[in-house]
Amino acid sequence: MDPHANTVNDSHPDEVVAQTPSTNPGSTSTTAQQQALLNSPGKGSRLLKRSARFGYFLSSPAFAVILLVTVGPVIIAALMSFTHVNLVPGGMTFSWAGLANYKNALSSSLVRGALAFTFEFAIVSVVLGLVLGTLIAIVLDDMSHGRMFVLTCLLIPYSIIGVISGQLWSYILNGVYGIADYILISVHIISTPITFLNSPQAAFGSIMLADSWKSMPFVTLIVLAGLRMVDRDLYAAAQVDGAGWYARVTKITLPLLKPALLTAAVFRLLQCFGVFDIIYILTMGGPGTSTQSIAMLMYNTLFESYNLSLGSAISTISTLIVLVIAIAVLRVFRLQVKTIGTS
Amino acid sequence: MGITLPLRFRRNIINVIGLIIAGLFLLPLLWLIISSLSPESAIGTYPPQIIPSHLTLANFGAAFSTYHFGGFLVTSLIVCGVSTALVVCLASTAAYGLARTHMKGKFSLLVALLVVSTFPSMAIVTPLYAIFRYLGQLNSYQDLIIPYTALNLPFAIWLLRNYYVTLPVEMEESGQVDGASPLRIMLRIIVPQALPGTFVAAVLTFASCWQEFLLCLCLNTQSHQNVAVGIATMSGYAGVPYATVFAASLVALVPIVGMVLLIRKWILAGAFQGGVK
Repeated sequence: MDPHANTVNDSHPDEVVAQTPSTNPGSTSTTAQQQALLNSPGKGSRLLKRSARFGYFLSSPAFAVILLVTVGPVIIAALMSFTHVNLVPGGMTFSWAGLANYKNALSSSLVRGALAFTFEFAIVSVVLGLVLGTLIAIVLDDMSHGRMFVLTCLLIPYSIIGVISGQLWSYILNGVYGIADYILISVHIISTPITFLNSPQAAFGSIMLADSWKSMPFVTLIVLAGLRMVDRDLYAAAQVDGAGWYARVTKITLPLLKPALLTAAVFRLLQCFGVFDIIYILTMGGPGTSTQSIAMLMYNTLFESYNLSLGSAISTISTLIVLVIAIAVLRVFRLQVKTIGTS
Repeated sequence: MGITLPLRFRRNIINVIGLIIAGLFLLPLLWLIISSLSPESAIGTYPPQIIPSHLTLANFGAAFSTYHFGGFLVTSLIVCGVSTALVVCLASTAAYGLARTHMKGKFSLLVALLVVSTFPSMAIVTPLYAIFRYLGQLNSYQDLIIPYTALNLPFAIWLLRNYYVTLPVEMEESGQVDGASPLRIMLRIIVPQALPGTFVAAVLTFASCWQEFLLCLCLNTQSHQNVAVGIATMSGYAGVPYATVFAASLVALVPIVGMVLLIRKWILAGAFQGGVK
């Protein structure tokens, strides 16, 4: 068996981790094909070479586009971050700057504030999303009827455009006529309206709320897929042994759910790191700069001060941070493959 | 039998909690729909008019006439349509190469795709702005189509590669025995078989392009901006014209939510396996 085929299948990269196509037919059929080819020795190796050439021919256009348009700009940003960029009509001029842009970036309280906000936001959002998303998944897992209906309802906020989510929540949370204040006052939770977007803490909470509404269904989907894979016989056996609900959750469910939780956590972390649309609509980074994320700061650097040098340095710093998280992703998947391999 | 009744009771409670959760997630959307159908004068009143005095479609008209939402829609349709077509063509061939041929380094390439797919668009917006400005291509369709294609390729390749791997190999083998060329085998045998997976990849790519905001906001001005930017930048004399914004939002949401619901069986497949043992 080709070990790679399995590894790769089990570490599907994005939201569709939720769906798990049966992996075995694929790997066995590849083996069958290889076997068929290898059964005729002389002809086999020639066919293999021809097949390999065909593979390169088919894959190269896509990989060329990815290299040129995503990897290329990342490298260009890294190069630009060591220069002073001057925008002149019809073009731009570059002059060597050494580490000046990085010194500027790292000594700037704006950059440090944006980094701190982004990390704080990411951690709170990921933890909150995982806890609530998992609780919802457990409820859905236990439902005897209507699970499909509820999941369909959850898919709608999940597929909504981020900007629309921002506009909707800024309307709901408006401090003068928002329906959130109206509801909270009518059920006597508060007596005077909260101006949600005017204080740093409330603005943080508002962004969190708008973001969670859209992103929590993603966590629920992944965790639910993990839950459905837990062998129900284990629960029956635990019940026979007299284990209570708490013991079942901590001793069976959570350990078996670990790969799904890690997958969800890492992808949410990466998403949170780029948070932009909701903040752009809800607070524009305010009040002051208290909710300015890295992406928001990048936007302001580019289009308010037209500072491409500093923008490139911030780009490069955030690429490095994302790369570190990406390496963590790969480790998580390796862990996941191991878990699946040993179970 | 003594156990059955409480168990059924407990199930019913769980079912009701599930429905309440669904309701909580849908409530904000309900408010969006109500507001989009309310007269503009109902916006900004306190207490809010939860049941509007009368329903109107005027906001939809205002979105298209006063705020030229049609232009944003056309840009989105062109950019997302072309990007999706490019992604499907490029990803299908690459995925076939990664799933079915004997090229070397397939595993490394897949891992590399995984790493590249984690780059947020924020990391490339500054250099892309510089490049497109240098090329004189800012404020166009292609300055969005090119990055949208590249940013969505890794995920589409992964998805299609995993789909191809699950297809039975027998028909290809019989094609090989009959002496058909690899290209012919791919186009005549694999592509038709892979249509469901290709459709899912196309829908998810289109949805991802349809939601994109940052690049479009940074690279283009009004004449070439997409629906997300259109909705974000709508403003009137008295602040944000929410009723119109929500009418436009509804128009922008119908295609994407419709398509996602169309492939929901596939997205939710993982949530339904097992569990019946």
